[in-house]
Amino acid sequence: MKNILISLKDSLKIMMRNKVGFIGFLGTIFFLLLAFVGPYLMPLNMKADLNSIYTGPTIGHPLGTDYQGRDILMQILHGGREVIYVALMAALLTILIAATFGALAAVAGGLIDTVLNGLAEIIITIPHFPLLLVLASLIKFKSPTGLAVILAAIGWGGLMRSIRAQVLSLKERDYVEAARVLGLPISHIIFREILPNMLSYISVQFILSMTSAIYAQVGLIFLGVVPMEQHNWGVMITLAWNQGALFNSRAQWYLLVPITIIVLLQLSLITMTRSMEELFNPRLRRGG
Amino acid sequence: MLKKILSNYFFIRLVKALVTIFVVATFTFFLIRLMPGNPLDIFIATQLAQGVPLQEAQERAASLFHIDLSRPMMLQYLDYLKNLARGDFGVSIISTNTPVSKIILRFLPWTLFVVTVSLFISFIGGILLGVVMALYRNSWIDQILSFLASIISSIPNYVIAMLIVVYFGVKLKWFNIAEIRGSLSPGVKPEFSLYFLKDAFYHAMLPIIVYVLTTIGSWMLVMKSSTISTLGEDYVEVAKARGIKESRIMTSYVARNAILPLFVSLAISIGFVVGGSPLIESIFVYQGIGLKLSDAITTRDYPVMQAIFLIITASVVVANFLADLLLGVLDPRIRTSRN
Amino acid sequence: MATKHIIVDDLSVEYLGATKKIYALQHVSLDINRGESIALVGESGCGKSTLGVSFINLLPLNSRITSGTIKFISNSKEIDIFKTPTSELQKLRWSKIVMMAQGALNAFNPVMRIRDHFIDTAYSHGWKNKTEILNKARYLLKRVHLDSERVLSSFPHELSGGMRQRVLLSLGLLLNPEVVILDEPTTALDILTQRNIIELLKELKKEFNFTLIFITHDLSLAAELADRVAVMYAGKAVEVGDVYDIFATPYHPYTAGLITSTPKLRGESTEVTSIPGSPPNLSEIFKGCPFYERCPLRSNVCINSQPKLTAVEEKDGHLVACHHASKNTLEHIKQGDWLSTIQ
Repeated sequence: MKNILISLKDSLKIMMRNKVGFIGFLGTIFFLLLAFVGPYLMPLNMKADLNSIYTGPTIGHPLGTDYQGRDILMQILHGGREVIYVALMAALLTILIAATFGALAAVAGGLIDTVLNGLAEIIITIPHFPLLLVLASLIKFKSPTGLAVILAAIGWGGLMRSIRAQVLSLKERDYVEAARVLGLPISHIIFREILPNMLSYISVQFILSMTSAIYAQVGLIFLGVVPMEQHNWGVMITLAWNQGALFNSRAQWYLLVPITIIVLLQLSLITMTRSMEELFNPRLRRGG
Repeated sequence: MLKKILSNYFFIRLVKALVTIFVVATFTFFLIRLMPGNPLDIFIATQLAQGVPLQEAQERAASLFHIDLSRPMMLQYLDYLKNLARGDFGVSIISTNTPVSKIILRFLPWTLFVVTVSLFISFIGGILLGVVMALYRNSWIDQILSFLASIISSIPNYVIAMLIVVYFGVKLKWFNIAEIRGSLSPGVKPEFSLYFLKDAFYHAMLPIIVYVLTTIGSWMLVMKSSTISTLGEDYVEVAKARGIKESRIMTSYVARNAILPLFVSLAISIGFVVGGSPLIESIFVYQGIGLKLSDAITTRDYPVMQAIFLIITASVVVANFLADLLLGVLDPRIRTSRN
Repeated sequence: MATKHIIVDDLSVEYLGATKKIYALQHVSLDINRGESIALVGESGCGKSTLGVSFINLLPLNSRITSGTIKFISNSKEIDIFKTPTSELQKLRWSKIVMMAQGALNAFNPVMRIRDHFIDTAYSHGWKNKTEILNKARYLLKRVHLDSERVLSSFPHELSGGMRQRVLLSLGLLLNPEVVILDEPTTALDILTQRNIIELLKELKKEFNFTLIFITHDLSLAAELADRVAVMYAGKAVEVGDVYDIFATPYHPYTAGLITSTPKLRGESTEVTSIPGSPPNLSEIFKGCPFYERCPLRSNVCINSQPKLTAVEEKDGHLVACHHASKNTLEHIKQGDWLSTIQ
């Protein structure tokens, strides 16, 4: 336990070395809390209150109200869980598919390698968002998990190819060779030798997959192909846009809040990758 | 000998492009035809529900999707491919009797125009700014530009589009948001005139700004790091020792080599920009193929949707192919080694 | 009597690192005679490459010249290299003084044909007649035993390392330079190619009659090519002299150590010895002799007093910087067990 605490402290110290990255890290923590703890802070009440439409920030409604007089802060607190859940799931599945296919292609070689590589090349070339639109209109995305699965199914191409390339080059390195000569089992080689060396890269890719999942998710909601029953930030942006942000300058506040949230979330995630690079890069780590 | 290798590289690229288009075409065929609850079945079901006899419903479906349902699946597939090769994509469900190919011909050029102009501006601009950042690295100008580049490339493009409309259009009234919609003003016809060009650029301005803003950051950062590493190359040092002028070294030795890695990202960027067009064109109500795709999806106009998806993919594949060709021309090493 | 071609006087150069300064050259003085072939010898980090780029004032941006001058004498005019404006220097580089830095393998722009390297170089120096340029290039390429037509139309990556080194040599001779400086001209090459390049250099030197300065860590290369040798250690010239004098009677223990640690392939024993210890940290200025830590002859004098480069009594033009210099140094070294045996 004590060891874990010490290594946690060390990790924090390393992450703090890159100031911008650390701010991103704090931002990410904030949004995770907002999304998963937020719903417990304020009950969701989506009943219309026609007396307080578009109030703008007031004491009763710190972030103002929407076109039906509903509190925006409340909606923000409740609207993150789904967005971030889909992003996390999609990123996780993307990494899993990419790592499996990448490692398989690199280790197996031959026909499997050619086929997987060709598949990856095709899936990279197809523009993702139109593909998602087509898929979304044919397969009704009923659950957030379903959406995450589809996002991962079309998003693994680039990562798979880099993982394949990295495994190929790592395979040739001395310590892996040494492990093989020593007769250590293949699981040892993968989990003790190869994986730790790719942790930095994979963790950064995880974050980047999250950002593209958020991009696609909100985009799909905006074009109305994902059912809007659930309440989330993407739905808020869409409603704000469709309910008169263009014509009613008081409505702009309603649009601006979820947009700011999405932008800050994306910025936090992307800047956090700088600290992650330092954290998981053994060379940088030893250097301090 | 050299000619052979050269044609080899280009030949392989061409084959890859064709295979990709073929795979995507096949994939969409089976997706439309075989998925449970596929559009074909749904269409027939709705017709039946409206009291149309089965045979007629099937005939209507067949003519819409250009699939003869009485033939075996494999033959239907071959027919579909044959029709595609002839540029025959069937007929729109919503605007009856309008061939899909006509819709594509009308709206695709606008999207291609906007995307090409945007990529051109952001590519050139990104290269210039990237070189400046590399030459004055760690100065305030580099720090500001790097900061802006990394921020702007992490903001989703549709968010920037919305902000432009709301802030500059509605709030500051720099432009009339109703008037700037569409791809041309009413009454203006495509022709070779300054008036037409001005009008086309006026309507395309906003999407172009968004695409440039959201792609230029990554060009800048890639170009910066590429230029810095090229500046340290031996051949640059030797060129200085050879008494070559500074300006010539910067252009023909440094920049000329530093842009090569950018062509790899060009392919990704084209896909991303074209892929984002349904969103951006919807926000600005720009009459391009992306807006048509999102329309077709909301109205469940499957033949149009399928065809636009195919054509968008094909455009990206062709653009990638062209980028590969250009890289092959610019980098002699790639022609012999990268296939 | 030899006439001077380049005069290095009291040259000091330092690099500004992220946290500390590195004193790469410390008060180096050296005369180079017209038409001679001189080797600058030393371990890596001794400042020999810094001296090499100083001749054309192409020091990296993070460096600073803190003292001294380099004068280049051409057409009986004295040119102060550090006071020449960049535009003039650009004309001087490659047309009068050719400096070929290490890394000939990457000396060529990968997207330009060899032909265009010749043309680019000539154009930069005001020579615009393409036919003439290419004719000269063809002659020079033939002179280094290459198939000139094929090479001219090749891209750099289509040539082998040895071929690229030859092309670089012929490109170096395009403008009939007075001085040719080669930094480690043979390192990245295999032994056979090294041999060919050395033979070629001898031929070219004879035909074109340039002053040759070459920088190497390899004493045997110096023995083969040089008329004179300047041994460098920790940013200083520690011994300068005629190649025969240096090899037969080195005065400086470092030179003697280098000579005895050069493997002799023809000798009956094939053992390789080396000087113990490693070169000193160049981020501080020495009070005493920089070789003190590794020296077998050291005494208390060497701690606080820096030896100056002075002429030895017995021989004209043989200079050494050592408090204990003597013609018997080599004997001493061979007798002692100072050198560590590697094999």
